[in-house]
Amino acid sequence: MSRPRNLETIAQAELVTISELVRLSGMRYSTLKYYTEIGLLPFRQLDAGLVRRYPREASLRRLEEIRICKERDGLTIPQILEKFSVGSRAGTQTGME
Amino acid sequence: MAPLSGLAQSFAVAAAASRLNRSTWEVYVTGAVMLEWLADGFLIRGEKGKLTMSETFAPTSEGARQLAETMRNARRAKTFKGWVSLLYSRTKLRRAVLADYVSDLLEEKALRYETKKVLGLFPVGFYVPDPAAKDRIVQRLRAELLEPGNVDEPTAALAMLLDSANVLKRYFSDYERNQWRDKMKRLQQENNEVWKRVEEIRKAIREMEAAASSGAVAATAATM
Repeated sequence: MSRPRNLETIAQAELVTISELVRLSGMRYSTLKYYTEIGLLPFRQLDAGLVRRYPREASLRRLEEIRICKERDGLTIPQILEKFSVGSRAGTQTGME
Repeated sequence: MAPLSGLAQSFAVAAAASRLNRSTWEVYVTGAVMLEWLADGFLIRGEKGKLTMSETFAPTSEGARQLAETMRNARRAKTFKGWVSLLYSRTKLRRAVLADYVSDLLEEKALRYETKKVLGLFPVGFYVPDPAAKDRIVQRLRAELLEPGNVDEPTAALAMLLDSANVLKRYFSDYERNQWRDKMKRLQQENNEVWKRVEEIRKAIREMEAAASSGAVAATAATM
């Protein structure tokens, strides 16, 4: 098992793991997993271990967009999914851009 | 009311192999099917909470058809509680409904059926959820109910149903359940129109809970 990276390193990294994204965003692990499962939070699986890596900047941007949709616009998750039109791509290993 | 499609199946997976005994689990799943019908407008709540079945409703699957026929041809209209109580004593009927809704889950391997012998003699069957399928439902509940923002009606209904069956406490701590209840109250005050419909579901769930707590007594007292 590799040593956890410190926050400073994570904040500079291009790709981060889900646990690192939890630290950066302050959101629950289960929430990020759910967003990933339904396709709201795309990821990449690059190495042989198939660990999911999230593009840091784009993921944080997406989480902020979701937060605004929920808190300001009062949208529910299915409505947000529809808005981002990612429902059909749920579970695919696409990059964010 | 927004459709609650998937409520019965989500509940079946989330509450399978929990502390609910099998008949209560079956009654709750069948009750969730009736909640879906209520939300779809196939069941109409009339005076004094008595339910009537829409004439146009014609389910294609066998179990749902049997339940719809039973409700439509009943001599006296019953409340939600009355029907749920009746389901306790009508094992064949509720298992027919259950078979419709559980068959897809068995096929998708979200649930599997296992048997074990009690006292080494009597075989007892029970359903076991696939951990990944259950996790997805729990993650959805946690993401919608514990994070800030709005909650959709199917998720709110599922959480209320799991709470009523005492299953939600397996997934949420006491603190989180209080947090969720506060959020529901707040949403109800802020967004009255939508949450009036959720309140309608809550009423039906309370009736279901009352029927479940009276359990076997209600079952023997219930007549057609």
